[in-house]
Amino acid sequence: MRKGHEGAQRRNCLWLKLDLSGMEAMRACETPAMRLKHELQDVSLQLNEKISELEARKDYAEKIIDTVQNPLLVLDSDLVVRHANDAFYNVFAVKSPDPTGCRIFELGNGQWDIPALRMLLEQILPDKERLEDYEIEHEFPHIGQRILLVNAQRVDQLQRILLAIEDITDRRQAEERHELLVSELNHRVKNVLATVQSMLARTARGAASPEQLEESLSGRLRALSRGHEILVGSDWRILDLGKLIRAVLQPFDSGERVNVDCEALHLRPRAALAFNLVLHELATNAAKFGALSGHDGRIHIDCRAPQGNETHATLRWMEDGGPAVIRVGKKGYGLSLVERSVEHELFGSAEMMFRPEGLKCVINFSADVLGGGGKS
Amino acid sequence: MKNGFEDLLAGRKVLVVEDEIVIAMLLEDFVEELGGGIVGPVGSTTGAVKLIETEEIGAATLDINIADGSVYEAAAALTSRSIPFVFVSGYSELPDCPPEFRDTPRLKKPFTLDELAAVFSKAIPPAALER
Repeated sequence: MRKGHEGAQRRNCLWLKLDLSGMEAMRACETPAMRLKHELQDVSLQLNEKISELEARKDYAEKIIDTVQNPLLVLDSDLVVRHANDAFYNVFAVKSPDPTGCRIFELGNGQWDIPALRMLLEQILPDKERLEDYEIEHEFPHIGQRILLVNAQRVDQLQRILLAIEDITDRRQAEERHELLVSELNHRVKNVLATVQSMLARTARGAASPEQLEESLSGRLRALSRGHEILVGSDWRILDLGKLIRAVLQPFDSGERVNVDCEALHLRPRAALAFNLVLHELATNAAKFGALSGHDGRIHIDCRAPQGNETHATLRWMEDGGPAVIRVGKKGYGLSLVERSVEHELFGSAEMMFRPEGLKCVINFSADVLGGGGKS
Repeated sequence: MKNGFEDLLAGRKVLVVEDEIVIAMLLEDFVEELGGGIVGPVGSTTGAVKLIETEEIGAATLDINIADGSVYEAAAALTSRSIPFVFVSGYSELPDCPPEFRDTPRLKKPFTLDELAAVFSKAIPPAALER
């Protein structure tokens, strides 16, 4: 009853309090004890309001933290985890028990006891209020080797430390891959230039005139270019030998005079480049001196996969119906390139038979240059 | 050939380690122009080491980027026999080069005959050239 009465009176007094002109009247109707009590009640009410306001702010702050996409930890001055956001739980695969309430170094069976992190929290941060892009590399039990960038901020009034952690492992790997690609490309380009330089020197030696040099050299350059195109088209994966033969021979074969009978053989990229050049040289030779130099000649090409325990596959190139073959002294650059490429890059041998009806070239090449599925 | 390098490799058999035959053929031509003979060419470290162990070799060119393993094994085999050699590379920096080979003379692709002669003259000790 009394409580209710006092409450009513207090409400009245509060109402009066708002009415400044009535203030004096309110004070006049209270005893000193009542006044003290009422003042205390006022303070308590105000405190409660402040507390709920603070709680709302804390809630707001935590919601902000939870919304941040990078993992974020709130530590107190004893380095005990006071809050961890969703991203932290997700990225670091931290599951129950809830990490909040233990020291950061004890988190997840001590997986966060990282020397570099200790250094940051125990030695650097006490002297520095804020630190950005501090790099930590660490092997975590569940997620493996990671590279982290940590931003740390001391909030001294609240005795809190904010740790924002960004996992840059993927970005760093992409950067490294990019660097590797550039370096690899640089290396490839230099090799191609050295190849062209070598072809130029050798082609020039055998050429009777600048025109002939230009013709032979540009043929070889086109072959190099096509080889790279074919490989890029196949994403530098294994390449079907039959397809390669048709692609190389196509510009030389105006009237369907080339017959290809090839078992399924899949070449590794380096071997595909070697075959590209070998076939170009054989085709050029046929167009200049052999079956494709006249109107009636034909070329039959067949390929055979290794049988049983054989370690070699075979490609046979057989010309007939061309002009009578005359062997002129030493082999030219083109055919010696065929022999040496097969020997050096296809780990086999090329046997050339200069038959009256046309050139026959039998290429045995190592099964090691074949990729997945090609050996069957 | 200018610069008095004509006989730089005279009397030496030069091991050529290079996995691309067209480039190996250029090296062969250049070595022959400098008076040297050829061992190889060979496109693998294992092949190179085997030749170093069995053939009489007076100098070598090692391509850094060959298909199998590290060419530095071949470099070590040459060093232990005091055979002078040069590195040939398309890279500006040598990848994973052990410290003992950091000062080995290097030829960058593409290269000319004069450049090959210049790196060999750095690799071969002057006393050996006077012979």
